[in-house]
Amino acid sequence: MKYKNKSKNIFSVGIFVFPALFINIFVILIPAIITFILAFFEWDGLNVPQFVGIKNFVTIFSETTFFNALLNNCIWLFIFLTLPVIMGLISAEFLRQTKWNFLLPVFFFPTILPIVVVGLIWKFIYHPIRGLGKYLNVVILGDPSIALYGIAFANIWAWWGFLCVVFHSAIQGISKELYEAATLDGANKWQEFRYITIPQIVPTLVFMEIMTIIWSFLVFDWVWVMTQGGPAGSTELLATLLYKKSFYSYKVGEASAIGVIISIFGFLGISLYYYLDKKGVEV
Amino acid sequence: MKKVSISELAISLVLIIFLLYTLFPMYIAISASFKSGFELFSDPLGLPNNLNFANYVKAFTETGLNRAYINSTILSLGTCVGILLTAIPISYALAKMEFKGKNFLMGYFFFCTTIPPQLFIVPLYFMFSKLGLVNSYFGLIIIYIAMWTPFSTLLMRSYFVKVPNELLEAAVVDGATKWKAFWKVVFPVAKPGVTTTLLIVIMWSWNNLLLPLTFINKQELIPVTVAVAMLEGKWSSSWEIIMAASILASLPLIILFIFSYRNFIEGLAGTGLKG
Repeated sequence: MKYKNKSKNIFSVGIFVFPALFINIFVILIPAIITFILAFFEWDGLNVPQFVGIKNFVTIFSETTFFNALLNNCIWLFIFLTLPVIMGLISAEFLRQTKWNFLLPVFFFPTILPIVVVGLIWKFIYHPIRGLGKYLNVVILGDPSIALYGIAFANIWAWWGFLCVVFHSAIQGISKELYEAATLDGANKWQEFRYITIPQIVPTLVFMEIMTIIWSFLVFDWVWVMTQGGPAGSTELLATLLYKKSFYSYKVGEASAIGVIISIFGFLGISLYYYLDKKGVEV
Repeated sequence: MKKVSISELAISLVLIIFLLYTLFPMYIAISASFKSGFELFSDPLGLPNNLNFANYVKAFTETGLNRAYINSTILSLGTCVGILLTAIPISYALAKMEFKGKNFLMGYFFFCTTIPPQLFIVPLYFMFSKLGLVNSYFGLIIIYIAMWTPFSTLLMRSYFVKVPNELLEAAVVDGATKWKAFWKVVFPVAKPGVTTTLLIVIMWSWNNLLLPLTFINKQELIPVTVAVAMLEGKWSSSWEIIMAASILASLPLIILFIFSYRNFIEGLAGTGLKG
């Protein structure tokens, strides 16, 4: 406590805090605020920006490409809220029961690889002439009706192991006595999972689901590496649409408007987190 | 002897399926990287006939990956140094000092960890091109530092908090300045946390695609992720080269992971962010 009292001097705290805060404000906060402002301007990146009110939003909302991308993001969100979470839960619970913990680093490993690399490996696997696609006689990334699922499947491969490790470490925190008591009461493995594991790791589960909401609207690399939004816009996401608008067609205002919309979903995620936190769900 | 029940057998089986699912794409990539073009075309699934490193040599020297390797190394190490200089002091302040706005700052940093790069890259690009920071290592490193300071700060703070105040008080009583107290007392205790943070920062810097794609457009400055992403244009029929290049691009991370997977798991999957 004595030490803390001595550090009241603002200058000394400032020296510790300033460098990080300065870079953050300069690189993130100010440009982010400018994005919000630019969303109401028309700008090609060269000439003087023209104030156009909500025209950019009107333009975006009148384009099917935007709704297509938004729908794809929602499909993506739904897939990632369910499939990898279930895989992570099952594997984490089974690792607890078998104590095969040596599998943990193996499951986790794909999550550290560059997305570019994993994307290319799966692109090769799917390849209808040179990859394994020729054995199954399917064209995955070239078929507008399934290309998005093909990309999501590749992403899941490099993601579920992360959830497995997160859930596994949450399960490690559950008191062993709970499971022992259940065994004495004659509970089977399913009942242990349903009535002990799940309720005990709800905070972690909720936290990961909220982060999934936020992250699902940021996805860029996977689509960029595997399809660039094609074929026929079938894998376009908000983030890839934004990128194309700003750096390919120089519609900075419309791109900024999409940026604002993306961040609204992030903001909703954060609000949900604080709402649940306040309500006493221990997130 | 313990009887193996059907449910135990089923559980083992499911885990083995998960294991095969995890290993299969790695096997495909590795086996492809050792095959000749013709061999890969006729049999993408089987084992390679012999262990031929020719594809790796070709991938490293002829695709520009060698130069990209140097670029990625500079970017990763530069970001590391930057994070050391900026995130360590602020996480120390957030852990061990009392000041106004401390909670607000922590909330802001948590918020920052969820801000999409798409929200700031467009204006940032125009700001940086005015300042001459496009196509520069320094510019990209600054962005990396800004993006990962919040996460690094929250993670390292969770380690610094664990350092007992008594240790600090003793150092101060001995006449140490705050900086001295920090380097001599806090840093050694919280070293595992710093290591973990730096490993994650190295990984993120090495793996990032969006930012170098946007801020670097000179061929001689591109990092490995961009180089690998561009391979398909030129080598689209030579997947054996693309796979060899992909494995080479991941190699530094694979080595780091083998030696310190515990740090990765602890830093990314632990409660660092939530604390």
